[in-house]
Amino acid sequence: MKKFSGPPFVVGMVFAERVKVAASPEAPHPPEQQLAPQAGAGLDGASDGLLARRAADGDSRAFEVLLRRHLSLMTAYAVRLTGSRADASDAVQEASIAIWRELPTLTTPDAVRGWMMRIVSRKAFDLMRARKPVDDIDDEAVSNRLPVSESADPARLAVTGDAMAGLRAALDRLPRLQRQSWILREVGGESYGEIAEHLGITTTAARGQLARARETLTREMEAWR
Amino acid sequence: MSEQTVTLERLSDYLDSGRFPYDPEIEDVPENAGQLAVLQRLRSLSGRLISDEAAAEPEPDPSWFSGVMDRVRREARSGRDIPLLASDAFETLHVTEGAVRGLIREAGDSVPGAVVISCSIDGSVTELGAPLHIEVTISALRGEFVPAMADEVRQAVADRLTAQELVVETVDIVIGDVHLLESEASQ
Repeated sequence: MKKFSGPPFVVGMVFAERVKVAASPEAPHPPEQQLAPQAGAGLDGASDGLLARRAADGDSRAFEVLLRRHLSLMTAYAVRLTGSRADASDAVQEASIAIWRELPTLTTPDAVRGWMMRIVSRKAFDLMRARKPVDDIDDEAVSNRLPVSESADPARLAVTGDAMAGLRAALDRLPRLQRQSWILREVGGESYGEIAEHLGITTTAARGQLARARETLTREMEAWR
Repeated sequence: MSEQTVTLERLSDYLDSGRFPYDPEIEDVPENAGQLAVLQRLRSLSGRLISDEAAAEPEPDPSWFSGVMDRVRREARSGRDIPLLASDAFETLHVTEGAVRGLIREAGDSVPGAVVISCSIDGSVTELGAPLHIEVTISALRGEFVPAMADEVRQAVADRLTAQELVVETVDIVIGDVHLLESEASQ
């Protein structure tokens, strides 16, 4: 746990409480002031919420710390969504700039990570739409660009009991829209409406894609248990 | 209700709601409860899949990263222009609001135990010589004597801005958060 947070309170309100803490013999001031966060160094240990609020206030250094902290997750998410490392890198770059621009509008800084991930998915789909204006990607081709594990045989997986490898292989076998819907929903926590918008389909169709993905994955999952 | 009577979508929505309010049609029917458990497992596995892949990500290419940060800094939000006292009839010197925020952060961060979260600059900001009202929201290291820290931050901010030929009338400090040292936080 990195911090205690709560509604902001002004100094006057906390005064009495803090006086008690400071005056208590059990809580002496240890001579460890030199351990207090230095300018710069202090930000590395700062909470996401603090960094987000500070970056929203225009501090590019706080933004850099925030970005470094979540960059690998953003990248992994984008790779899963685009199926391509190069596209993921471009999408994450565009997302990073958008995050910086839009941070001042973020109303829940403590939830900045999920918000960043939604911007990543938005940029990933913007990019895919721009690259392939016609929806002509065949699922085969996308699957082939993913590093499909060699252990795609459910029977073999049941023996090894490696549920994670099982899920990986099952996801790789799903048609593109189903796979993307699943990742957006279960990893990104996006709504049916948001998923529909990304995929350029109706909300009903997005529900359908997700329903099929769920059916396939829960059925295959039986084999890994 | 021996057959599964509940769709996977409904089970999924039920999971989304944190399994609340309690749904006996799901929880009390073994087939449905079993499917719910499978969905829950799939969901947590999917999250782990991405975090595992994130952990395996190579360090970002330094040129990629500096490219992003260059663009970010080019889009710095400079805000209003604040005239400096050093201006005279011939020339008005300005400092951007963004730069003043930077000074406030620097001054506040220099106080042990304090980390600046945000600040606001009020007053007739763009008028030469108009007094500024500054509010600084900080996070305080837990265990620090907060009123003393607030005074120190107030003084540090006022000194820094005055040294830049700005007229500061008030500096209010708001404690927006309390944080732990990193070493404590990880324990």
